[in-house]
Amino acid sequence: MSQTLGQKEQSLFQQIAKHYENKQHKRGLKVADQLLKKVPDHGNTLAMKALILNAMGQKEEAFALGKTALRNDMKSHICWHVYGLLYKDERNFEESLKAYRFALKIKPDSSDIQRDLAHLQIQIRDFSGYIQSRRAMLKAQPTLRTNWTALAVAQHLAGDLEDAEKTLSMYEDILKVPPPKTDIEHQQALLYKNMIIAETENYERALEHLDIISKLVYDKQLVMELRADYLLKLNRFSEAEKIYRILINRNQENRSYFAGLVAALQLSESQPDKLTEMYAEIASKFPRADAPRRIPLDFLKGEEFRKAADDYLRRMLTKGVPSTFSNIKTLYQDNEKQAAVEKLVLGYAEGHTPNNTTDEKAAKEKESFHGSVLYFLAQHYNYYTSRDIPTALRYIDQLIEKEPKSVDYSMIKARILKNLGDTKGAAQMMDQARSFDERDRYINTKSAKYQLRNNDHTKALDTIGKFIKADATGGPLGETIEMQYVWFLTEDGEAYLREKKLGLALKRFNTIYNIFDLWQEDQFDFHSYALRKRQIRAYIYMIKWEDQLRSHPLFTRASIAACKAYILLHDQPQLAKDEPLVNGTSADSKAKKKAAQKAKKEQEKTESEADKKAKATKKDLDPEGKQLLETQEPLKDAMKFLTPILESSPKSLPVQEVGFEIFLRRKKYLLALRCLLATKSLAPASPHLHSQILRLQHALETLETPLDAKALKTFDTEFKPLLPA
Amino acid sequence: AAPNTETESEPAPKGSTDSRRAAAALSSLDARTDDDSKNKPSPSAADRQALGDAMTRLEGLELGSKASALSSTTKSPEKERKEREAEDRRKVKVDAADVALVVEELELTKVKATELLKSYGGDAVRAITAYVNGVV
Amino acid sequence: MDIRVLEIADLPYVQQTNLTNLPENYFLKYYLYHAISWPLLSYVAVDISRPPKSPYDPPRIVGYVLAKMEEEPTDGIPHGHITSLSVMRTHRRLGLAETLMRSSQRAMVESHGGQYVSLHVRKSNTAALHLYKDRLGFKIDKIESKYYADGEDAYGMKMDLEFIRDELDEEDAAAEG
Repeated sequence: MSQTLGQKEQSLFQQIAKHYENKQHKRGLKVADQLLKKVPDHGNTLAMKALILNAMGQKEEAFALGKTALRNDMKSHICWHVYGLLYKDERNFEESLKAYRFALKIKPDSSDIQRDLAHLQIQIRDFSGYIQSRRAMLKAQPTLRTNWTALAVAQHLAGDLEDAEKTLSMYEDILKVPPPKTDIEHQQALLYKNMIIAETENYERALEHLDIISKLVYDKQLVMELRADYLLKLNRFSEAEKIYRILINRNQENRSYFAGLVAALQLSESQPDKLTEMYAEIASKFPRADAPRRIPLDFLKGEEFRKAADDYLRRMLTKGVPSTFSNIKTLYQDNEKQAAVEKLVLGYAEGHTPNNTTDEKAAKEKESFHGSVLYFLAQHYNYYTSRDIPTALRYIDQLIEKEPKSVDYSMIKARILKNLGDTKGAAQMMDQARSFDERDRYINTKSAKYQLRNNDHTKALDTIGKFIKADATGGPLGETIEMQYVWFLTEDGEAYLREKKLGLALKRFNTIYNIFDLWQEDQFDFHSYALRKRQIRAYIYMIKWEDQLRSHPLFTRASIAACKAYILLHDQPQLAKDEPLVNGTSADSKAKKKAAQKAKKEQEKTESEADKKAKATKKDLDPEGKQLLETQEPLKDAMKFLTPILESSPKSLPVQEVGFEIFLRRKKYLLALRCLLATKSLAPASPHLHSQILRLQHALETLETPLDAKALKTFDTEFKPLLPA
Repeated sequence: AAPNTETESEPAPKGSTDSRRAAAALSSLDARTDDDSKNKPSPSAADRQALGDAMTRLEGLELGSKASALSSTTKSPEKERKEREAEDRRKVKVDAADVALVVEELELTKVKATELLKSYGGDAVRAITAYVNGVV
Repeated sequence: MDIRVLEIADLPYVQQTNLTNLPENYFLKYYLYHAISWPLLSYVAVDISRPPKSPYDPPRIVGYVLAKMEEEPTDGIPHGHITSLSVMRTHRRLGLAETLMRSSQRAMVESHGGQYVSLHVRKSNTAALHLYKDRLGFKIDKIESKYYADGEDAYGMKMDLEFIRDELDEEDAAAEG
């Protein structure tokens, strides 16, 4: 029962499609409505209209219309295709897939539908489906090299390295005439094939292949890096050495080049003399390089270390490099090195003689050196391994007295105050530092962060607002959401959590959750773009990164904090109702709340329909997260955050610990045990472990309904042995 | 204090000349075609022949991977082993009650629960024990 | 410090550094667009001096250069363009900007045949002007009026990359000799 159109109507329909492609939504709508006047039940037109409405943000209407379109014309591939697109936008990928498949069944030769299906399949990592689609696309258009490469990519991602390589080779065999040297697609396909061969760990073959293609490829540095790597893996050390030396000539700060050179020379930390020689030679060739001078401090010991550290420190402190301490502090993991450095730098400080020369330049240099030394010492005594706050303060105050308007000095003082636990003083000091250079955003960011650590949300927004355009939608907060300031949202949310303002806290963490969803969405367009641009290797790296997207430490922090908020909500439900006490009594806040609710009701009555619609599309209807607080199942809501972090960061102790807390309360005792066992293996001496064991034991002993016999067996073998005797 | 000498940047994709180009760049990412090779010459007869041969080989491989492990001569022993293991797993019978238990207590989907049980020969206790231990 | 090619996994942290240091900011997708279109042009300076805290430690990006090749060069000459360059205030005086820039320029020449590189600077940003002009070797090419969203003019700056071509030729000669 397909609905055919007359000629005039057909051309109108084509117009709609064109307008949609060109993103001329208003015009498209106009023509669609025009056409619908003539054929009001025309499924395909309704579907196109739905598509346009969706693009304009009117998602609910679009969906309703899309459903109607389908009902009117169940056999239309266009209606199913549009339905799939609508679902995809809603991130309902399962339904979208189904719809695309329906559409494809109706019109198997539609390359558009096939492509959309393929991209969705790889987006959700349905590898076998993606391979199927790519095969079909290749069969449909075998002259397009991209289709061959895309199939290889599908096979590669599915873990089928053999087939991936075969597919690429098959295409190469077709080429009777080798492509011109300028053919980037060819170059990148060759490099991609090499990547696949290397992944099979057959480095002999990888090297052979690389040698063949190296003359054909512009990316010489990449080729050198790969070649040196393969040579090392094949123990062809002197050849590898040559390449690493060329690479170091290009860039003396790339640590992997130095690591490669050391491996190529077959040296190790047990031969410090030879290593020192190697680095010294490079250092003398490159007087401005840092790495060859800094790396030896990692492996040298005793007197050798002291001498090298002395040279290095004098050099850096004379230059006045502010990150000298930051660069050195990792050495403090070794107590002896820490002591040696301390002795050296204190020596510099004591060795400072007051100015008694007429040489202005020399005098200035001495002063500057001394300033750097004191700056170093202030940080040294602030660092946790060598902490002595009063001494740190003494040094930094000395510096501030000499140069009261120095941003760096006030910044360090703020950090010292932070370590004292004085969040208020630290925030004030950091803001003072900020005031000395209002054109620098770094110190502005730091200042806002310290204000948030002091739970001062208003000031923090005000501070970052100084670098945000006045007309930003939603003000500074809106900007932080739109431009993905994950750091700010995390700190803001954690501050609200500390204050037990759970609605606002959860609001922030949900925003972060949504940003990561968006970052996952971002890859969508690149499934086709990367192929068009021929950058296959980069595409593979993108896929791999997206797969571990949520191991991002701020996502973990925000998610753990969200879980903690939900645990609080579960354990202390009154937190959802009472305003947290800041000033005044609970009764005051209850009265305030009643008044606010009354005002809101009145406002809603006077609001016009248009206002409400505008609100629905742009403004946040629940800026304080009150709806989030109304949940009857906080622990279930928490799973939204817990599941991804358990998956992406299983080796994180805080993640396993918060997981235990949630599963225990949800009475999912096997999962609680799982977290407990993970905690035990990550940190057998963890102080929380003991309490976890006891609480789980108590829960198991006071069960209302007994556990399944099979589950009990697991507890017998895995949990019983942990119990105290 | 020394002026901040190290920083500079480009305008954001929000409202300036470069930003309009950036917005255009981002919106062109989802172009509706994979075909960028307008300037490439169309394949010659020899090429088309070679193409046809390749497509036949491709289809042969595809059929080969669908058929049982016995018929293919181009597979590596590793691949054959993997396919045999997958086949063995498919044959394992799992108890519906066990699947329900795993779904409820380990919060896995029905599909994943079945997979887990199958990889332990249908033995629920072994499967659950392994899962509970398998984190780090 | 470790100065190396920007990897896709670095991008969220590069974005964070950009948000921290500069008022001109971008969606993550724009960074992806650079990293996928020109994967060898952008570089990062990573602070590797911290003792590891967890298996999921992020790379601490203390400096970066985000670069591209001009998609449609108006003069028809292949050239690179610096979208964004920044070094954290705490990591000055290490020559990071120079090393980042040179590495990117080298890739522009070697992988893309770039003959020069361009960028824009706010007319009022004397510090940045000094960096590009006096330390990195750029020249002012023209003024683009109202280039920035707030209406400020920009200096269009340019730097010829012939010297990199020469360096690369020297490297070839030395390798063969």
